[in-house]
Amino acid sequence: MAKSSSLDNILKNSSSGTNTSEDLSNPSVIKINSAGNYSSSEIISETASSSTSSIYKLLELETEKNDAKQFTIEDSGAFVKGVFKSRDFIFNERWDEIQNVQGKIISVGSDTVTVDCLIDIESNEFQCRAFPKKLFANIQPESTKFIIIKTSIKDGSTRIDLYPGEGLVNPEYFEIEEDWDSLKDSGLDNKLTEWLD
Amino acid sequence: MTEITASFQLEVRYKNFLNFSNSYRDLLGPFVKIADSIKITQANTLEEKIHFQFEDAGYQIIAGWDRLVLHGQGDLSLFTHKNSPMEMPFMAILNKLSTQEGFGQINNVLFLAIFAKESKESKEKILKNFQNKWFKNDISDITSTPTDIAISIVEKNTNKEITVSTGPYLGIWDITRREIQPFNVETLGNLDFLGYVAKIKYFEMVSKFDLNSFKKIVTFVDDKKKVVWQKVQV
Repeated sequence: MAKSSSLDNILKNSSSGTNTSEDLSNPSVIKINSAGNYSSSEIISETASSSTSSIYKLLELETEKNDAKQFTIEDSGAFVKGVFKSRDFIFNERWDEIQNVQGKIISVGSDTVTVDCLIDIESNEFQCRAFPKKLFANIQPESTKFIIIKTSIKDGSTRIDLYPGEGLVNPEYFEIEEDWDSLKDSGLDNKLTEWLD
Repeated sequence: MTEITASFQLEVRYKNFLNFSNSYRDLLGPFVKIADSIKITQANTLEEKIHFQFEDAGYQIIAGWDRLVLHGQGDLSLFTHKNSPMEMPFMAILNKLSTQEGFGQINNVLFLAIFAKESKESKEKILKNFQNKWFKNDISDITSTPTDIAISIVEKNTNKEITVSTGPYLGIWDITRREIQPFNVETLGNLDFLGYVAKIKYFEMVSKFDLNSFKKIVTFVDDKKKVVWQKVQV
């Protein structure tokens, strides 16, 4: 397949965001971005070994295509749209540390959401942390039980991303074995009638 | 002095999981939520693989019918702490796969890392220094002016293999020509320096793998790297 027509297909697919079973049936490489759009491309598999170089190759080809065309003032809208489409790949921030903490939502307040965070799986250590409700805008904390809290840290900066945890968080970690029955008749529930020495 | 972990790869290899290509989409689907992007290769074959790419964190995880791979770059200690990407999502994916009926058992683990360290010496001095440190005999009768030189030390026994290779680092080519390459060269910083490079490979037959196993491997490899730097006195 000629490269220009492959590129046209990529751009067409990625801009329309359509997901059809025909498109998935015979791909050499399928790329899906975080928005759920995918593109099947022979160019990517032929010309680049790593994902990053694939992306830069794609941008390069796209730029070449744009350069080859003489833009008129009427085309300016389309040109800007094309430029901004790939911005998410260009500006990768470099974080010094990434933590992915599993959590269970325990209460939702008017401004904050309280989460039981599993700090250490081995020692079963939990911390109760409150997060601004704004962070949960996309995951509806009232109907979500488990979440993944991704914390990215670098000098002078922290970023928190929340993801729905269904299928990711192991619910067994949050099951507490409270053996209250074994305390029955142990005398611990007897009322104290006098001060003990 | 710049010191970098240019790239590393961990492979946990298991018995061929015949049903992988049919079952992984349901099984690993939830992990797509936390990945920056994904890529599927060798689609509709037994060897179908899914690549979970975490570009801002500098690593990707590749799941296939015979191995689970972590390919990354940068400081290794960032992958050994609690709640690191090694624990979630890597170990979470491995645990999910291993609970499946079609999953056999873990066979072995392979870890490979490439390190580079800067030296303020000239290229000629680095080459000469390396020869003097590692070779007792004069090698000028083989070639009087070598442009590159390396040494590889292998230890192999019934269930373990360690390979340490080192030589002068003469520029970015000494990283990009390797069998594993950096995930994103741009975020590694300035690679245009002279110094020394070390490639350390660790292979072991194992039947279990967890975060502590990974920590032990990283500690082992890190110790070997320190010895290599000590030998060349960078």
